[in-house]
Amino acid sequence: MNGRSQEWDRSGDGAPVSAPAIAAERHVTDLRRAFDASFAAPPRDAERSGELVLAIQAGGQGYAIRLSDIDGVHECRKVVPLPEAPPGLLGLTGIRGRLFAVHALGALLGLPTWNEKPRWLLIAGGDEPIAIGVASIEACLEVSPADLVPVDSAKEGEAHVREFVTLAGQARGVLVLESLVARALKRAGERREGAS
Amino acid sequence: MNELEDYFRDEANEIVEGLTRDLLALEKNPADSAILARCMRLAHTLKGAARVVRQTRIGEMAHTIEDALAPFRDTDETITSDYVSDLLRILERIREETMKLGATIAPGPASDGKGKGTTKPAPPPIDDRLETVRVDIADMDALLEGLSEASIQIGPLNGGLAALQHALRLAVLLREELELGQTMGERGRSPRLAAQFAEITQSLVHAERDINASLGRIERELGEVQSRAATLRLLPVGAILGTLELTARDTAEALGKNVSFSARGGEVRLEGHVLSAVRDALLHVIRNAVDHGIETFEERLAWGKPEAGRIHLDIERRGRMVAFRCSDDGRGIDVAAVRKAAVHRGLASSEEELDEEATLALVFRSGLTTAAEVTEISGRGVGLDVVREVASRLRGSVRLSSKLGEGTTIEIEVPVSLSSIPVLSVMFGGSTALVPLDAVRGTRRLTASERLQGPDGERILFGDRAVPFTSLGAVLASEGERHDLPEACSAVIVQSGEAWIALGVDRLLGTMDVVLRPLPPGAGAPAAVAGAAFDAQGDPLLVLDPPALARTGARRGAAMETRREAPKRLPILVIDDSLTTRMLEQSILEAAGYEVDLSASAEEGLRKAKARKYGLFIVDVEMPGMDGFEFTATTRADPALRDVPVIIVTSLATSKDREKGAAAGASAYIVKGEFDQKHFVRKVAELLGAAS
Repeated sequence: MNGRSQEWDRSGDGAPVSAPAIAAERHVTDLRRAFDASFAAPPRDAERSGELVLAIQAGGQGYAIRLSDIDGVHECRKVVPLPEAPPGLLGLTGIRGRLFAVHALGALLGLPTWNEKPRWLLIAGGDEPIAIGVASIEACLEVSPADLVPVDSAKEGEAHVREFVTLAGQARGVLVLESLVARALKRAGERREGAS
Repeated sequence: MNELEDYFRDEANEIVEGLTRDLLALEKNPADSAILARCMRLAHTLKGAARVVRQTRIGEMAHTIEDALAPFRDTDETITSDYVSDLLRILERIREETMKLGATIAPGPASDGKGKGTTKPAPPPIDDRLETVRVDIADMDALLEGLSEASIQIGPLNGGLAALQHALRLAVLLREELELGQTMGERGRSPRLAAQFAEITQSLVHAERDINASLGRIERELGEVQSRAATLRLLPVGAILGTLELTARDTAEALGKNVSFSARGGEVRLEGHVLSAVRDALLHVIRNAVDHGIETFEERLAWGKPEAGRIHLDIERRGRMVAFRCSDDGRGIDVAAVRKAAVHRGLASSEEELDEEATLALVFRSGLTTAAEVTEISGRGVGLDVVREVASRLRGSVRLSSKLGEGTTIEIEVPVSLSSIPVLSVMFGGSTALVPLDAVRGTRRLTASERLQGPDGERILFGDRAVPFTSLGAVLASEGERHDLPEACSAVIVQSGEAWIALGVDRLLGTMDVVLRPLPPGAGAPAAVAGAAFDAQGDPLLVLDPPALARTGARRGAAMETRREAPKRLPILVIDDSLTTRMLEQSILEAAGYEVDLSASAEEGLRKAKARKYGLFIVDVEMPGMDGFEFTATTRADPALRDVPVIIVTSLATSKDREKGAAAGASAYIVKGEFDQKHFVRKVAELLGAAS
């Protein structure tokens, strides 16, 4: 990030505030993201209107993640440990010439058996992306919006689940990646307690 | 001068854009002092930049905006929409002026600052700038990322080449075996087979030779392109020295003073956007130095100083940082006056509570000025605030030292950020790390006997110096991990300022140039790590931070001292029939510095408990044979064991189970589904502390 604002003037009423450079940069970023995402996303028919979810395993538990919540899926290659890392921050990895901090999903969810070797990395976090390590990806499935059942009251320890979905007869929590990324940043000491 | 005006036009456009955005934001949040401060800083920067290129009209308008905003900072009054509209109108006029400036730059002799008001359109400039292309940094980064990805793809090709070479060796072996082992009956087929084998071998030889040579060439070329592209991203500091000198001269001229400006280290290169932010900060430092620091001609003569004031900028690369030291030989900072101003502005309740350091630090606070009157150049108490803001935005630092009557030095230290640096690659415990070469004073091969044990840890001799020695593994390992050095190891001697440290590594791998990348979001800020770089396979390598290493080394030494006293603490016995749980609890406890024994059953646990003194039992409930509740109750009944606290860690979560645990005499009850590592370690520490 170069610190520039993501907003630009659209008025076109003669005020030369519009910054073509910023717009172009944004366009390039969008294209790059779309390009990356095209590899991550399975082909889908135009008529389909359901939501694509990934069925994953972390810390010995099954969860679901909306495909639209992640910016990419990559095979986990070498992860270099960092000194003074909080539990769950597995280290650094390189993906297409970019550095990512790898956090174990199980640890972010507070599961006791999070210390498994991640096989896949999910990229999430928008402008402050991190790689979230998961033990396995079981399937990528399309579910109809009606299949996503909101959770009434989030229990302690399930604060990152706001919906449930039943996949192959098994109910799984649909993870809210935004809050998990915020938790990862907080654990790394980059956000204060209570910030989301 | 045309070049300067070009810079100004771009800068002014950016500032006007930023100010427009911020003023609109301020209109929505009139009480937001951060936006207000940003607006004032932008106006201040524009005013200064306009003065450099002698665009007095733009400078005056920027001054008006700054002036108009000041009352809202100093009082509780909030800005109104009408007021913002007025300011936006002024901005619009600045924008018009700036555009006019762009259209009237005529090629030819350097501008003398006069006759700029003409609106006659100039012919398009035809000069060597047609040979130059402006590239957005984001595009540059995209290019670097692409190159990095391309070189990563060479990795598998190298693997393919190795497979081809292996196939070639097998083919040769197979042919030899066939020639030796052929029987009479096979003789008839052999010439045909031999010919086919010869052909296969020949093809493989050609393929191997061509691919090997091409791959080598591609790797070299790509390496060259990568390093050139990385250098393109960096700019020499020399690019801003002209602007700085002009600022010093113009400011002096406007104030009727005489100032000479000198600089050293213009060849140091750093990233464009870091340099542009530092330039803004230095403009303020220099304007402040001329305005407040350098005395008038008469005053200087009276002090016996040379007629012309001196401002010197020293630029120095320090590992991953670049230091800009700007010194003047002016009157220095009157600490007493700053104290007075601070109390006056309510920044301190009394002058007594401020020592010299705290007082000097206040100079960087927004709104503090000792200037008797506000001049057009500085004195509004904004300038040095900008310096501090720039340094902190770039994760750098700023220091100020001053001697009354002799002058002031302001040092801004900023990271080079994405810059290419030479590093020494070292290996320890199977990992590779990179040490910035400019901090390395030497390397030594060491035997264990050359590591001298002293009261404050190990030292080694380097020249006539006894340098503190620490294993790099110990510095970089996470808590509880151990990295023993081999009998004969290498030491990398690193100097950072006054501090020296020798880092023990398994072996040295060589030097290389790398692009230092900052740690990504979510990686935290480990003290000993400056950032990371990529190896040829696209995997990250940690780049160490020499100043922090020296500090971490010292801290580790202290920690080891404390750890040596640790044996007083009793070991912990973990009893669980699940191997995974045992391993998990063991790793958590050992990482926290405890000694741990393990048992797979309550019966075995009881035997161990009788044979050794423990500080704490951690026990599961559901186990074959005796369960955790029984174990707890049994130990509570035993006078030798009853004082050892018990933590029950179980998947039984009902309140009835909890009551059962409490009845048995457990000190704590933790449900596996709610397992929280921090809470667990805290509980353990609490109970062990209470037991000892």
